[in-house]
Amino acid sequence: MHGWAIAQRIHQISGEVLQVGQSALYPALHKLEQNGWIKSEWAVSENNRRAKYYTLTRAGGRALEQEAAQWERLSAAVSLVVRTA
Amino acid sequence: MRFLLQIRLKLRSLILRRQVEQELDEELQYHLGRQIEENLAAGMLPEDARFAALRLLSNIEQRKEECRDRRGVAAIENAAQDLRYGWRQLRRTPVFTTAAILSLGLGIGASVTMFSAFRAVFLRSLPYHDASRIVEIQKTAQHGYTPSLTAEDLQFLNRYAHSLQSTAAFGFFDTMTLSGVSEPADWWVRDVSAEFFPLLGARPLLGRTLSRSDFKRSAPLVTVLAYDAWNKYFHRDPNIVGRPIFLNGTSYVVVGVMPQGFIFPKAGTAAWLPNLTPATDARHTAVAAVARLRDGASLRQTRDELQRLTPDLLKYYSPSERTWRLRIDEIATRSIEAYRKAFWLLLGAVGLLVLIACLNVASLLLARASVRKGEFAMRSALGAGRVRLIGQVLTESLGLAGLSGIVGLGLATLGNRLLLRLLPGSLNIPRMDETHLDGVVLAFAVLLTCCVALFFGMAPALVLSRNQFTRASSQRQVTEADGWRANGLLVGEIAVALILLTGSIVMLRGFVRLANVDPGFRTAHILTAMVPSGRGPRLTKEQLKQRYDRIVELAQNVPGVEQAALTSYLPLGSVGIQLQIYLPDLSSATYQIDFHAVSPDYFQVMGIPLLQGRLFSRSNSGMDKGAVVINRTMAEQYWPGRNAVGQRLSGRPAPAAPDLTVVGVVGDTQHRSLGQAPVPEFYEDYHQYLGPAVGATLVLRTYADPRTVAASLRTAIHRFDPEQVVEREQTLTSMVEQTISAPRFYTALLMTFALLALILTLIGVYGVASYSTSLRKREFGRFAARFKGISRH
Repeated sequence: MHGWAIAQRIHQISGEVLQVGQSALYPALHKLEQNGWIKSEWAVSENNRRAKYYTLTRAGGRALEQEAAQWERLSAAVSLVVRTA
Repeated sequence: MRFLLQIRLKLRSLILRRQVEQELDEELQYHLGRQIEENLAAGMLPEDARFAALRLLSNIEQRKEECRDRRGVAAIENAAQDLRYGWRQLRRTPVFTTAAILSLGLGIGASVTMFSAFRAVFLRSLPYHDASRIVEIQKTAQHGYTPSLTAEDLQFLNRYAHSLQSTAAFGFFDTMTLSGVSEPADWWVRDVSAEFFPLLGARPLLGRTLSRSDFKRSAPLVTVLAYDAWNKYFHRDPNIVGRPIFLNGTSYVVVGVMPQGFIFPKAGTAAWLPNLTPATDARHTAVAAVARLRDGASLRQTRDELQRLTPDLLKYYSPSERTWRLRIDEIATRSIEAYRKAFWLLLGAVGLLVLIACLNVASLLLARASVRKGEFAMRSALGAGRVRLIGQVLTESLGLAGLSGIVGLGLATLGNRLLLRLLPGSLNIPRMDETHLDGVVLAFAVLLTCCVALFFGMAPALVLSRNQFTRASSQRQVTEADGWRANGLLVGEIAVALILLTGSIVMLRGFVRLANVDPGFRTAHILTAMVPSGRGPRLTKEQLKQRYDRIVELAQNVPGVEQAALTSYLPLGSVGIQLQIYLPDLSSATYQIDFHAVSPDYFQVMGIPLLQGRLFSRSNSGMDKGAVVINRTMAEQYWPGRNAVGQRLSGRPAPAAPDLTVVGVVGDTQHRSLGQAPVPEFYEDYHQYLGPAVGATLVLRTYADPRTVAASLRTAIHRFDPEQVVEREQTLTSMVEQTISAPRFYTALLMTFALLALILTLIGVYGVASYSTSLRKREFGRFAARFKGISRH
């Protein structure tokens, strides 16, 4: 998936609630790539233009699982705190 | 895997920087394009669609910068930028740059040169298997002499010393005459036991080493050659193995050649032969010995064990000999121990030299730093952090040091060549000739360069990185504090240079004193030549005597020769003989005393004065059987306040009647080395002692330059016997010079370093002074203007 599509997808999935600062996406992507969690290649996009496509690597998948688990714990804790408060 | 990927990405962003940048642009452009399309589709006007998209993608340039940071190569890119900038700085001030690079280059070059020599001699491994576990075993006695180890001692150690894995015996220094080559030569050979080569674990260059079967009495005689002998006498003939050579007229088959650097036990050894003498009398067979330590046994443990065993070992010796001790030394350090001090001294000297160079450049940089304050204040104001600023200065320093390092390596290549050329031949430092620049030396050079950069870059880095925007912008002049700092460094530099200079002067004085030592014999107009008998044609004592009488007579008759004499070995040479002597009137103790067998004219030729009694009778040598001439030190040491003439001494222990009588006392000579306190010595008539073990050296007093006589001496002797070895012809003057060539060499090196230090200091002082002067032009101008004004009134 290329950068623009990612931005769109985030926008859609979040029920159009989250509007990630579109430009902030790229430093994040580059950082993930430097960490070896995603890799990139150039390919032709759906509108026939050259675009940079990112795919998740195996190491990235593992990192995602860990981060997701961590996030779930954190968010559960936060919602608990919010509810009891 | 992931790590490799990361490295690849980093390398890519470093090397294909332009492409990576372009891709970033394209990626963002694509995003922008899609957003615009989307907006258009939503019905916006083209202009509005574009602005909206741009707004959504806010701060593109800043985001790009963030992306660049994410690549994680910013530090490297910054460094590259700083280097480029530093290079421009250096090019702008050519005089400063030349001075800095030259002084650092000299310092680095000198230390790399010394280090590579140090590495060749001290840090390279010996060509023996696991050399650090091989030790030499010796006996020591109180009076500083070394009683020889016996075969019986060795058997004892083999049986009881558990920390020794194995021992091997080898014979003492022996000479044999090599014949069948263009000119007969005197070879230093060693006979060795069967364990010798396996213990050292050395691989032969050609053929094989000695095997067990070579030690059988019925086996054909064989020998293993040293590399140098193979090179010198057989021109590295690859087919030498299997061929016979003639030693003392007997044929020995060469079975192998050892590699270069295998010089055990001493440099100069030409061949090793199997020891075929049956050990019938182990108690009185003297041997030299090496041993290999058992795995896990340390040197200290072994020493302790030998110390424990010593009383048992000495049980069979006479009471006076029970004070003897056993001593072991690693062979790896033994041959170079003598040079260690000199090397550390010289390494210390070049260390000081590098320090001076660093202080030099630091003070120059500091002086320059005061002008760059404005520049740095500006950078700091524009947002550069302190770390970044220090980084910049250090990067520049590293660039400067790197250039100096390259210059230094170039100088070191020259320095190595010069060092080897200046190295006196008599200073036979093992493996010194293998000095060259290898990986380790290069690593040393790089490390040194980095340390140097850090060292001299730190002061300016700290000064410049301080945030002094207001001060720096308001007054662009050298502040007092800067002056103090630069001066402080200069003072330190001059102090270090003075230390070096003083040290070298002290050494020079010592050398001058040594060069002026009176050796106790005359050196002018004396030619010497070795005329060893070899063991070749076996001669009786009488025949030997006649032969040497004839040789002395022939030498006497060579035109230009005033007087000829014979002695066993020359003073100040590498060989000497000690004999065991008993002084029955004094004590039952034995003394190991330096001994010389000389012809009656020896004292006269050498100009050694007779102080008391008489010399050996010239007319009738048989009459002087048992007559001994001693030197003054011996007389004073053993018979203080008494007349030494007429005293008795003996070559055999107590029950035997004393067989020697002192007939005369002569002056002391410096036989072992110059500048040492004289030791007891005694002389006997050479007729009593002729033979291969004692050696034979002609000393000729000549009318003219002794070197002119050498050729005719050789011709005369070869006419008498073409097989007689005549070699090492040299003048006594040159021998004395050789003995002081080592201290001369060290002194010269140290003086060179001290001079370099002085030059560097001068450069430093000049640089800083001229710099600060140029900065104070305005101040001087004001003074001048004022002065003019006053004078006009």
